Amino acid sequence: MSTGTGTGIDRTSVADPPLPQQEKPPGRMVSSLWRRGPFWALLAIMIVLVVLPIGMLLLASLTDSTPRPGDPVGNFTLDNFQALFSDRGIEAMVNSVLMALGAGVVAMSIGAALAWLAARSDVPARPLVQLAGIIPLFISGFVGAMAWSLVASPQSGYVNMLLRELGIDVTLNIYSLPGIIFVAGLYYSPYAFIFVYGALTLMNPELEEAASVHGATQPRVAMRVTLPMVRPALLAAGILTFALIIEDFPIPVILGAGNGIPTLPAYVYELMTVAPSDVNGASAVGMAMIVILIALIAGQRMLLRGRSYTTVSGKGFRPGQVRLRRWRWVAFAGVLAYLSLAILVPMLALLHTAVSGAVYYAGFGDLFQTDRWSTEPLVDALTTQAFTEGLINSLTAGALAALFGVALYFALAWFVNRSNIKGRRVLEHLATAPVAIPALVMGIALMWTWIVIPLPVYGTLAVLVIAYVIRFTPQGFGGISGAFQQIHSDLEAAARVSGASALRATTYVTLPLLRTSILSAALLVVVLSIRELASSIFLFTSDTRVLSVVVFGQWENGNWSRVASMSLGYSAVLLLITVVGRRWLRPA
Amino acid sequence: MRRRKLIGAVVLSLAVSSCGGGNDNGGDGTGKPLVIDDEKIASAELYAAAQEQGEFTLYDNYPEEQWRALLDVFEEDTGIAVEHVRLVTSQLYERVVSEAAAGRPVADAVGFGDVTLMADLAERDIIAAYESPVGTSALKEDQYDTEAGWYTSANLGMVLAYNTACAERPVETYEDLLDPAYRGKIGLTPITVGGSAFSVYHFLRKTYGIEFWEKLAAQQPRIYESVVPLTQDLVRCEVPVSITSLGVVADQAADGAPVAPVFPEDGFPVFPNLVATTADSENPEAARVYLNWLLSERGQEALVEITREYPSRGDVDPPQVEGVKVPPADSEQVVSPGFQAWVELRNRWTKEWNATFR
Repeated sequence: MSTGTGTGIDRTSVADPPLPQQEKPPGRMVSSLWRRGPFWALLAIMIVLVVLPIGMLLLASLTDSTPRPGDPVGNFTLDNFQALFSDRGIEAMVNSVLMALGAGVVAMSIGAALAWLAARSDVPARPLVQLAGIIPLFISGFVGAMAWSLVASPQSGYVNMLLRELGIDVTLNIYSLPGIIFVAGLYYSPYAFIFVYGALTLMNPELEEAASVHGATQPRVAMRVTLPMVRPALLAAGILTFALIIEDFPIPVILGAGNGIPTLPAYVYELMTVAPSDVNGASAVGMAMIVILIALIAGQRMLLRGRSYTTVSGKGFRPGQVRLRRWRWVAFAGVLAYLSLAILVPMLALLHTAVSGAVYYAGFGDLFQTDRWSTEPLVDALTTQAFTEGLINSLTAGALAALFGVALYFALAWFVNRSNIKGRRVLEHLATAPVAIPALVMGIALMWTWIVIPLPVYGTLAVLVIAYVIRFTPQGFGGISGAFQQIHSDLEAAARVSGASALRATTYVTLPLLRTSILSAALLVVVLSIRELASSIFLFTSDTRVLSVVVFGQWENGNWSRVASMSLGYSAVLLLITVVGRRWLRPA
Repeated sequence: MRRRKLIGAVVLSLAVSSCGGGNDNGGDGTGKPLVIDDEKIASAELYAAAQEQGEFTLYDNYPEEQWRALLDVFEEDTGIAVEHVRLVTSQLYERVVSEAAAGRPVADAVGFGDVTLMADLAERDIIAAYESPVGTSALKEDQYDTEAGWYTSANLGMVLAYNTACAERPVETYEDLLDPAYRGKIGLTPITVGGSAFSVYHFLRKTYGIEFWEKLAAQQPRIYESVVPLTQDLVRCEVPVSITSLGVVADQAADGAPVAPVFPEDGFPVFPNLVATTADSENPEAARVYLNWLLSERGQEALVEITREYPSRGDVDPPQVEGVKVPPADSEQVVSPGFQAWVELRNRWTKEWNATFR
């Protein structure tokens, strides 16, 4: 299994660039003893962080009792898989694949288009386009789904009330599979954007220029040169997006619940929330997702076999720009439309609910009865102790997860890409594995693991930090490892030839070139950590409640005005981080 | 907002009434028993030890805002602080069991509405046997188990409810749900969610036979994961009629939402919400004072007023719902499936329910 998240290249079959008689780069040759120690330490860390919880899940899917600490191990059984092959299980599988494929295509189209516009075109307001690519990150899927249910539920959704008011006999039903695909597609597009944007800006334009010089038309250059060069990034982004969507639980639960649209994650959620939770069944359903993902990753490897994607060498360059001419403004209008659907409309719906305090309206006109509006509930919600404490906990845990996570991901990426130690591929597999585990099931496995490990972390913020570092390893490692692959080891070799040690060469040559990727991985981990809900819910205590747990608790409480207010505050925090951090997504 | 003002008013009115009623709440560690409204809630010894501990941790599954408001009244009365961790039942159970097994108990008291899981916690010696003087004198014998250590703190009702602004007509009986006009427009929860849904399907099947399940399933009801999103969609008229939680729907109605609970002549189901203290507690006395307080007249009145649920005590009035006559707690309309039925039928009926409704 290759990485499902980095520019998953099977490096065993990657041919070195066509430099005749080139010696192996020094990074590959050095395998001295001093490096073995750190390698084993890293492997041990990954085993504790990843193998233990996954082992618990494997055990759960194959036995008849919950593998919680203190309980005897159950008997071997395959009965847990029955749930999966029931009519409902099969329907859920089909729905999930449709949802992940559909939303994946939507997300990839939006993300790749925005990335290309921002990186390589002369579209107006390029900084805004770049921002549009990543900005939906600040809306968690949970908040997005809730807001869209306000906007387009069949009876009282604002859009449908408007359509009725105008006498148009059309109902937009967000409580449907296309509705789920639409919402998931909107909010998962930033992953595609980040990967593709990175690849496009780091790409050496000489190849494209060469094609142009030889008479290729612009579309032909795009199809025959640009596209093949960013194909690893596209595939990696596609698989990550698919994997994240197929395990997303808030969107199908909020929009599909009560509407007869079973999906695998909704099924897992259901099995985990019945009391007592059916962890064995949930683990078995989770295995189905793992199998689907392994099949995909195998496909990715086949497509990329035997090629090199190293595009950053020692030569300086500036990516070329494509002139859109009369399409400039059309493209810009498309960007604005996307921003409206992903951000403006849902945020206005939340704001409306927060200040009006009601969720039932007889007609569209009633929406604007401003005499009932008050900012008091909004201010009230955002100044509660629960919200402010949650905010502090979320920021602290997110920052710490980014700090420790990035150190770990960098070390992993270095060993995987720059060492020749046997077993480095194991590290890569371990770093990729968490993406295949449904988040909810992972949450409970992390609880079991950290409750028995005799370190004073359970019940503190540290256990949440650990959970975030593990959960976002695929994303963080993927980003940094992908960048490693694009940077030719010639650069390090040059430093080594000039007398620098391996450590010095990494520190002064590779690290600065990776700065953008590292910062963008850190930013991603901060944002994803603050959004994380599924694991947090098993690990928080009254002192360590994070924002996602507070907001979800309000939703379970049924107080819409409060949920909307807190969701707005929660989104504002994420927005601030995304806007402040967006410059790190630019090339170094 | 409105709810918070209301809760503030409750706290105030209760505080005034308790002072007037001869509250002997010392709260200053002078060794007096805790007495509120002439009811002895804790002996001098128990109360002194509890005050020495000063706080305890509660794992509870009731919606946070309401239960926190109730705990505020408790803190006001006793001077004992409560660390409140609100979790859904499945997660609460997993955490309590795992923490106990790993020797890292956190909760001093637990509260939720699933008697089979509470029995399991007793079996695992996680909750402590306890003979509560308040509980044993105020509750009926089938509402507690001193050896296991659990007591019924409230009876959570499941009622018919409809949207007064958009339902075709008010529903009055369960048969009204079979009206073809409501095909595809009825909101229900699956039997697997716990006591609430089990009590509903148990009541329907015992009262009208299994045919009613089949007829209801033929109406293609929409099955929600829990009563909260269900009630939200009821308020927004995505489903005009439903069977849902009395506390949640009454709360929405009090907030001005166009929904009303209905108490059919044939009755409606309630299921017990339970409370217990834990065996490896570091603050056992503080947790016991809480348990006793919750079962006292004072605690029950606060609970009814804040949560709008039925009290477990027969001598405390049921909740008030504007414009609706609420049957008294000892009325024949209030039907509980009983613990035994739940334990015996749960697994078999879950399978049958899945076959009928899924």
